[in-house]
Amino acid sequence: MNTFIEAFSGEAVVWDWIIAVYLFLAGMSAGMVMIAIYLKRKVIEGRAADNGIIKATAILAPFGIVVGLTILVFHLTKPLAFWKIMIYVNTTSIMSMGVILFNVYMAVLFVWLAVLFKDELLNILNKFVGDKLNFIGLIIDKIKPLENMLEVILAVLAVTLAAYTGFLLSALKTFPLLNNPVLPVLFVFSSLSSGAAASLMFGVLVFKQSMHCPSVKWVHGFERPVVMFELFLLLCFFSGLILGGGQKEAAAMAAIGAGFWAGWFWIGVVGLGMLLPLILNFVTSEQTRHTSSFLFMVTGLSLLGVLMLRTFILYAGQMTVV
Amino acid sequence: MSCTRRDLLIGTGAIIFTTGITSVSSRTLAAVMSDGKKRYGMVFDSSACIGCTKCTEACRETNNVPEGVSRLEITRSGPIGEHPDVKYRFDRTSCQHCDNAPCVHVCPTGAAYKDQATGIVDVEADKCVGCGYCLVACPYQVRFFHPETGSADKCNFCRDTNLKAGKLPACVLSCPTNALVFGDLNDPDSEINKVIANNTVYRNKVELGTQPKLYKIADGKGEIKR
Amino acid sequence: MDNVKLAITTLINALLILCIYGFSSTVSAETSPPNKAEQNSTRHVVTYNRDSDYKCTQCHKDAKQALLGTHGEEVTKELGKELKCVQCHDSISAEHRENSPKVTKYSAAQSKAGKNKHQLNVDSILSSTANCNECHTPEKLQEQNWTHDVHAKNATCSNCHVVHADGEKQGIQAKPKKQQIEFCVECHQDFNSTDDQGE
Repeated sequence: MNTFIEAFSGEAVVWDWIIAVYLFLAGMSAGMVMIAIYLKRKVIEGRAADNGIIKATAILAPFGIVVGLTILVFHLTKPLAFWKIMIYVNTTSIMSMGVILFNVYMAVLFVWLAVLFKDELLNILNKFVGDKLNFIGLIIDKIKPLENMLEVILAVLAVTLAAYTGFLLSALKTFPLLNNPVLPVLFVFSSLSSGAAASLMFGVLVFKQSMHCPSVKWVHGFERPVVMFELFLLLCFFSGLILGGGQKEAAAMAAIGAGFWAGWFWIGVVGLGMLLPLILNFVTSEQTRHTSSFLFMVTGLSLLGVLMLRTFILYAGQMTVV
Repeated sequence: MSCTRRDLLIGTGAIIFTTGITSVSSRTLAAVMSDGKKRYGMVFDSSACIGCTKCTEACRETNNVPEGVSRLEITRSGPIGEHPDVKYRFDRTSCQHCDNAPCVHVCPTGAAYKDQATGIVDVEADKCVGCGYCLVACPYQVRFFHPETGSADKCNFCRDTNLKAGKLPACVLSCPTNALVFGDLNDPDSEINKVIANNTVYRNKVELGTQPKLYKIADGKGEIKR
Repeated sequence: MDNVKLAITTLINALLILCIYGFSSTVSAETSPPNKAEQNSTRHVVTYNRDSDYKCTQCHKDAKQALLGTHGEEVTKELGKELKCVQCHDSISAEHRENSPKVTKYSAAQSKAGKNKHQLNVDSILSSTANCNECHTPEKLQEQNWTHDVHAKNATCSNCHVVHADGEKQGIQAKPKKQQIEFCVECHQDFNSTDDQGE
């Protein structure tokens, strides 16, 4: 327990675990949106808004991004001055570009969801506000023809957002582990895996989507290659560092060679988060796999793994200076 | 153009006054008159540094830096050798005033900036929101959050204190062994350029392309740790 | 007559035996186990009739108190006995009362010239500090403060320390951090301005 506290209270760490939670939430939001758009366009037959996974996305994607940004704002030393980050722009700053990206992503996400869930939205509005806000329905109808374009834009924004969390860290020359071109790609795929896990967990367990419907099957089938590719990316990530020599090698060895964070990585990120779900899916029977508790455990492990990966990258990354 | 006797007298007086000052004390700001863009830099002579940390103290007082944080630190390594010939090595850790500063590039609000007239990297405290991106982006790890303002803070060569008053930075003025030389790198006749030309100097982490303006003279005790 | 002769011989013999007995008892006195009566009596207990510091304090009236200031209780505890003047101030010559050229002194001195500072060569500084170093070993000094190391050849102890401080510590140890730094600055600025060539 003491090593646990020590590991999380290192004085050199400017960005701590709460930033990892933000990275996780933003990534999950982006991942869910990517999956939902694909499902809506290619897999789901009938009204997409009736699908449990789409419903889960409608709740969790905005939740992830809003909570993530709230965390960010309160992590500033001057939370009340957060508006300054919106009005001042620095084109060389990845964070400044990220702020714009976040705003556009949120706007497009809300519009897309409004178009998708027009009936539900109007029902809610009618119930609480009456018919004063019926013009919203008219606006949505105006936007409706642009839905296809909205989806394409949102998909691009989601991929960019997932990669952004990686670029944010890979821009740091200070830390060899973070200053790594594989990082944004790794984060895109860990976003997808967390998105898939969250879609299944909430789509099936909360919104009662049948486990035998095509969309759930597709996400299930999609999970395994994503995790495998994630493992491959981790291999690229660390072999690249080790073969790079010097401080890169030192940083990689300090991170996964020995110590608290090595245990965290091998047992938590790789073991619990990636290998265990893969193995469990491989060895269990079809029947067990379709029980709710099994689904909850496997998706829970995946989500935990992604959160642990983000935490690991953040802490182990800030451990070794160039 | 007419030149009255009075003007002439004032003129000569001014010339005597200015030249007089520079000759009396060589430790005032080399170029007070504005003659184009400056590129202020510093030399830290670790062979002259005795590790007394007076510079840190002087900086703290001049720039109101609270205890617990510091814009400037002298680090000591050693001991090297046996009694009575034990030696230590001293190094200065402070803002390197990079021409290509990572902190400036990453700052989302532009609070971190390089002053075009002096080449000094500074922080506009009011614009800073405290995201900490510059703290992690600085490869020299010299930035910190000011405990009172919450803004990112670091050495600015006393730009708003001593330099503004026409004096040398506090650390330079306070150093008992003259281990610090401050001046305009754009001026070929400046003391700093002479010191750089006449000594073997190095800069930290130049391979990162940061183009730092803090030069260091090695102490002649073993390998240089860049 | 024979009786007289015998009496004399017997007496002489008796005397001789007495002498031998007396001699032998003196000889064996040291090795014989001490008996209780002897231990209790104060008759044979040897006491120092002279404090080695006694003579010093006859002229240097307050010297003993001065010595006990910083080299008092703690030192007695450490050494198991009291520290004496001559343990540091040795090589006192016969002419001490006339003049005192030969007594080892530990006044402030440094290797570089400074204003109002006493300058000594490195060897003299080393021999001056060597005595202090017997107890205050370089290892201990290094552990306590790195500045001891860099001044080993360049300054005597009393440059910074008050060797005979009165009770409380004086000199550099009594100063807060800020003033300690000022102390470094004062001295280094002084000889740097006197001797610009440096080393």
